[in-house]
Amino acid sequence: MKYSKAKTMNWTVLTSCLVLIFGCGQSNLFEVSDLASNSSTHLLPVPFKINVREETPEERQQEGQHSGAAIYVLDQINRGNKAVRTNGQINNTAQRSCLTCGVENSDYRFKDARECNSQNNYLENEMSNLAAGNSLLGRLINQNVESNSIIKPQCIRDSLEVTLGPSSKSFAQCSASGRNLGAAFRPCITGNYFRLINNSFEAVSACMKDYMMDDVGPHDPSLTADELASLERNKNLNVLSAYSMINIESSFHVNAQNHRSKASGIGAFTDVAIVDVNNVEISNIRQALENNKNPDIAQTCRDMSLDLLDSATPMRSSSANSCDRISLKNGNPLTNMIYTYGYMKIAKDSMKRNIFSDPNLRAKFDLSAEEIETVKRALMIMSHNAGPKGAWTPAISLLNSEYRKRKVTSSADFIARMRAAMRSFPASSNRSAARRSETSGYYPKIDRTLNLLEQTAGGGSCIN
Amino acid sequence: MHKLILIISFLLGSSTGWAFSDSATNTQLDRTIQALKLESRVDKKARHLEAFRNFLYQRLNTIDLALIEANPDDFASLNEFYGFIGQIDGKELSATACRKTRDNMLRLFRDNGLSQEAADQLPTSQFPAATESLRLLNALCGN
Repeated sequence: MKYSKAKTMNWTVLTSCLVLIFGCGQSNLFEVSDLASNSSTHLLPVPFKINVREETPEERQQEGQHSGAAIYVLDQINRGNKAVRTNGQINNTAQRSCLTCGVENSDYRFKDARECNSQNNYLENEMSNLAAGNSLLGRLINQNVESNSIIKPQCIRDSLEVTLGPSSKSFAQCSASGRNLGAAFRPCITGNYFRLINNSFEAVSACMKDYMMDDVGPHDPSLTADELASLERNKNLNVLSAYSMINIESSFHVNAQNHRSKASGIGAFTDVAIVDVNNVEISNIRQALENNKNPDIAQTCRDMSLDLLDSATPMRSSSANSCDRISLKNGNPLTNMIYTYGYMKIAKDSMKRNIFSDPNLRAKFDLSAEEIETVKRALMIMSHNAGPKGAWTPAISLLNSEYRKRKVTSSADFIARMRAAMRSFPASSNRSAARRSETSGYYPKIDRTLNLLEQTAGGGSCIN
Repeated sequence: MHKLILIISFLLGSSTGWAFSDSATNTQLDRTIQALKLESRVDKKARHLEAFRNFLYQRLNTIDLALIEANPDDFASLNEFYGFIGQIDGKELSATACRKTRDNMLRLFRDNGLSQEAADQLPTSQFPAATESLRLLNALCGN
């Protein structure tokens, strides 16, 4: 074989200047060891609701004694569930038994809107107006936080506090007419704000978790009880993947923005990613939302489609319209969350087509169906940052080099090797030193952050 | 449709000067493209495509590991190409299907995830996998 010297251009300097990801100033927070172990799990929802209330004046006085993620009180919700990691492994090393589980002890403490200052209260009026009306967002703001949601409310609460601090200006404010007014401080975390974020994520996740697994019908009569349980577990792990990515991308703040790239909103959407969702998935998403068969949520899902996705391009791709990705007027955070799942689906389908539907490559995996899903999920997460070809190129390269003469028998081992493969065998558009570093570090960073949040939440899984 | 794909391939730098550093792949690719241009039957075209994909798979699994270690970017580029070819359904070559495949390839070419370094802002000479797969598609969809 004859190799010629490839022409190289030094893009490193350019990309080094360009690359800036959310939360990098706080990255030391995530340097915690991996607590994953290999036990199995059985997850049961907690059948009660939590009432969210505002702080009393006495509590507000005491708040000065708390800081960062510790300002909330949610210690008594059952956190005994074993932790399921995004990679499908189980973390039960930091479990804490639930001594006084019960609704009577389960409430949060949030800032009262009056405590917010003029620099961070810019969403309050809009949320109050929404809460007074009957729009979908208004209903979600008024709705109680359910403790048996797919992702534990405590984890959403922690995410809001842990990765982007109150002095961060990685946020944008939008005018009433949808014009981006520039950098802003982190929004004040009031009860309304928390309910808006938490309940929106729960609603979108509940409505879209079947869509993410649309290759296996939820009511397929041929499925055994075990298979149905596995399917449900995989659906929830997809939701945990979305939760984990959003932690990194925006800390769950509706108006997070990277001011250089204009990547904006909950899912940190760039122009190209929006074009992808608009062109490839938006009609499938509408169909999935409007045909949801779960009687408990079907109406909400239909409303999402009809209220938020009624135009040809519900979210416009131009950076000049970046408020489409941020503004409550555009249905955010719901719209951005819907797009986030849509983009995840594109990535998942791309991995399925390029790797798992290819007989040559599929034959290299000697894994159970569940472990295959684990690998797909990891590649989907990597793809969120690297792009579809940015994940499939190193994956196929890895299979065609290290796995030439042996099969993939451990999903964890393959995923671990992907980190090095993303450095050694990047897609051509990810070859700069900065991109090699960013793409290879993305999945481990997500895993570390999730680990930290689960530790903060008492050591249990963020999945209910 | 044929012309449109040709123009896009040209714009992306379809000259063989941009092809891979692996001469065996380049030779086989050129042969396949010539064969596709001469063939009008869809089923035979599909077989040519399948044969080339299998050739590339075998090639990727037999390139000397020392060479891979010495030129990992070149090896990655060939694997990226294998992925791009996987987007083509050789059995479905109607104008609509060809347009959809082309659009999908261009989308994948541009989509760099959430990077600020959008692929379409980089020089096209850096993307032999995309340009060569479009050249292959052009040969498939012609006639």
